[in-house]
Amino acid sequence: MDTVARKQDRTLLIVIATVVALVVVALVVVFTRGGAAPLDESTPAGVVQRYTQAVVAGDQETARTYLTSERQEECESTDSGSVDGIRVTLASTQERESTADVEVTVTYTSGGGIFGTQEYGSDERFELVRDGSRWAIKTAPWQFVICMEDYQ
Amino acid sequence: MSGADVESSEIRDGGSRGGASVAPAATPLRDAPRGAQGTVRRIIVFTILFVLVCIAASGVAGLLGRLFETRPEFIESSASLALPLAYTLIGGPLAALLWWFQWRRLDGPDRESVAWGLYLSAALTVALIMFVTTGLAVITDLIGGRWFPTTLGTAIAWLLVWVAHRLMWASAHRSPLRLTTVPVVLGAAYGLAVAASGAINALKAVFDAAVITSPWSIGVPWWQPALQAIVWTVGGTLVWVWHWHRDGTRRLSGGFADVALVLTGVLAAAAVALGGLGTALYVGLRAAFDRDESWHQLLSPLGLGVAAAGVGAVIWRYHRGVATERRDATRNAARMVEAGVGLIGAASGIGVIVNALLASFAAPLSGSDARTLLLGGIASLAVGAPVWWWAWRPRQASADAGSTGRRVYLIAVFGVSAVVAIVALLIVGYRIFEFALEGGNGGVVERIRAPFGLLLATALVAAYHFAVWRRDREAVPAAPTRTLARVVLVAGGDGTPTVQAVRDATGASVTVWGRADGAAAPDPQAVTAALAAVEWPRVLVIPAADGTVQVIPLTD
Repeated sequence: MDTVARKQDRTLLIVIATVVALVVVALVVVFTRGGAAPLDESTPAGVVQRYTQAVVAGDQETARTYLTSERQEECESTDSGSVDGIRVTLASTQERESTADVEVTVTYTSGGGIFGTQEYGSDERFELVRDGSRWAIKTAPWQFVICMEDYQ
Repeated sequence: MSGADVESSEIRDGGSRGGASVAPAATPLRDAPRGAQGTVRRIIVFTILFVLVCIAASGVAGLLGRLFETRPEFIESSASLALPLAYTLIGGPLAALLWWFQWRRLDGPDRESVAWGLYLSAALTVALIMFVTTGLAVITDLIGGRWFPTTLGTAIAWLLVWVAHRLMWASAHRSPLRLTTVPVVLGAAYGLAVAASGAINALKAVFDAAVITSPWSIGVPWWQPALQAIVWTVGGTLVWVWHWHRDGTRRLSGGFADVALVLTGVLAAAAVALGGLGTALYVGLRAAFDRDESWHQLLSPLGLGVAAAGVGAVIWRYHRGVATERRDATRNAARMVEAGVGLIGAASGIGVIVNALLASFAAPLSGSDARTLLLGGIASLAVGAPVWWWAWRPRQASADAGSTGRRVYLIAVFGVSAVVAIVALLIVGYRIFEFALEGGNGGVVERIRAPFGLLLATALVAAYHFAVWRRDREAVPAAPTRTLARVVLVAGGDGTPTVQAVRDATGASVTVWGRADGAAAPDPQAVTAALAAVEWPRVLVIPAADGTVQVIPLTD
C-alpha cells in the first residue's frame, strides 16, 4: 500500500474514531445529566421556570398562580401556543426594585428523519412585577400565553 | 448526415411511439436553417403557440365546467361565461391558425429544430400533468362526497390537448427529430412520482389506523383517505406503465433518459426510503429512551416513516437494477448518488449529535432536554453511514480513481461542503457578534450549537474527501492511458460505414461533420488505421482525397 493510500486510510480511521467518540460522549453526557435544576422560587427566574414547566405540562391552574393577582382575576383561560418539542433556556435576568425581565431562548425541535432534526429558536422575554412579597408574571411570550385577554 | 451526433441520439435504442415502434430518427437529418432569424422565428412562434394552447384549454375547461354544472344554486350569472368564451373563441382559433401555419413547415427543416422538440415536450408534459392531476382529483372528490364540475372540465380539455400532441409526436413525417425522448421520460418520471406519493399516503393511512388507535373518533372514516390515495396510486402507475413500458422509456439508454433514471429512480427514491427509515428508527429510539410524550404523539410519524421506507425501497431497488444494465457511467452515477444521499444523512446526524452534546451543557428551565435531539442525530447517522459505506466502498474506492463520476462526486461534495461551511460560519459569527453587542446575555453556546455542529460535520466530510482527492490525483497518472472517447469525423458522401467502423474499432462516440465540397466518402480502413495508435480522448479526423488521414487532438 503506498503512502497516499495509507494516509487516506488513516484519515478515514480518524474520522470514524471521532464520530464514535462523539456519539459515546454525547450519549453519556445527555443521559447522565439531569433535567432542569429547580431555581429559587423567590427569584424572577425561579418563577418563570415554574410557570413554563406548568404550561408545558398542560397544568394551567398551577401556571395561573404565577401571574399577578390582577391578571389571575381577569384571566379567561385559553390554550397556550404549541409546546411540543419545546425547550426553554435561561438567557439572562434583569432584576430591579419592583420589576424584572427574564430573557429566555425558546427552541422547538421537530423531525428526526435521515436529513436531520430541525430546530427553530427565538429569544423571548418575560416581564415580572413585585406582587406583595413575591415576583409575579405580568406578560409572557406568545408561546406561553394562557389568558384570552393577552390575544386582544 | 450533417451535424448529426451519431452516438447521442437517445431514441435510437428503441421504444414505441404511438403504439408502434418509436421512431428513432431514422431519416438522416437535413441541413437545418442555421440563421439567427430562423431560430428567433421558431422560438417566438412556438412560445406564442404554447401560450395560445394554454389559453384555449383554459377557456374550454371553463365552458365544460359550466356545461356539467347541474345544480342551480351553483350556477353563476351568464356574465361569468365571458372569460371562458373569450379564451375559447379567440385563443382557440388563433392557436389553430398558428398551428396550421407552423405544421405545414414541419416537413421541412423546422422539423429538426430544437424549438419544435422543446414545444412538444413542454405541451405534452404540461397536458399530461394537468389532465392526470385533475382527472384523479375528480374521482377522489367523488369519494369524499364532493363534486366540482370545473375540475372535470379541466381534465377533459387537457386530455384533448394531450391526445392532439401525442398524434403530432407520433406523426411519421412531422414528429420532432430532436428531444424526441424528453416527453416520455418526463411522463414516466411524473407517473412514478404520483404513484409513489399515492402509495405512501395509502400505506400511511392504513398504518396510522392500525397503530394509532383511539377510543373514539368522529368525522372522516380512516378508509376514505386510504381509498383516495389508492386512486392516485393506480392513476400514477398507469401513467408510468404507459410511458415506461409502452413508450419504451425502459429501453432507452444514454443522455437525458439516464439522467432522469438516476435522479428520480435512484436519488429521489433513495432519499424517500432512507428518510422513512430514519423516521421509523427515530420513533423507535424515542419509544425506548425518551418517552415523555403520549404514545399517540410519539407514534404519529411512524406510519409515514414506514410507508416511505417501504415504497421508496421498492422503487429504488427496481431502478437500481435498471441502472445496472446500462452503461458503466450510468451505473457509477447511480452508485455515487447513493453514496451522496448516505453521506448527507450521516453528516446531518453528526451535526445534530454535536448540537445535542453542546445543548446538554446548558440545563433548560423547562421543556425537553437534549435527549430528543441526540436520538434524532443517532437515527440519521445510523441510517446514512451504512448506506454511504456500502455505496462508496471506502476500502476499495481506488478502483475507479479518476473516473468522471467519481470526480464529479468529489467536486460536488467539496462544493456543498463549502456552501454549508460558509453559511454555518456566517451564522456562528452573527450569533457571537450578537452575543457580544448585547452585553453577553445568556450562553453563547446555546446560540451557536446548531451551526457549530454542522460546521464540525462538514469539516470531517471535507477532510476525508480531501484525502480521497489527493489519493486519486496520485493514482491517475499511473492508470492506463485514457482511451479514445470522442471522434469528430469530417466526411463527404455516405459516412455511415466509416462511422460504424470507427465505433467498432474504438468504442468512441462519433460525430460527423458533412463536407460541402462534394468530396467522396472516406475509406473506413484508412480512418481506423489512423486512429489505432491515438491516445488522446478527443480527436478531429479529416480524411483527404489521396487516402491520407489527418488526426488532430482536441481539448476536453
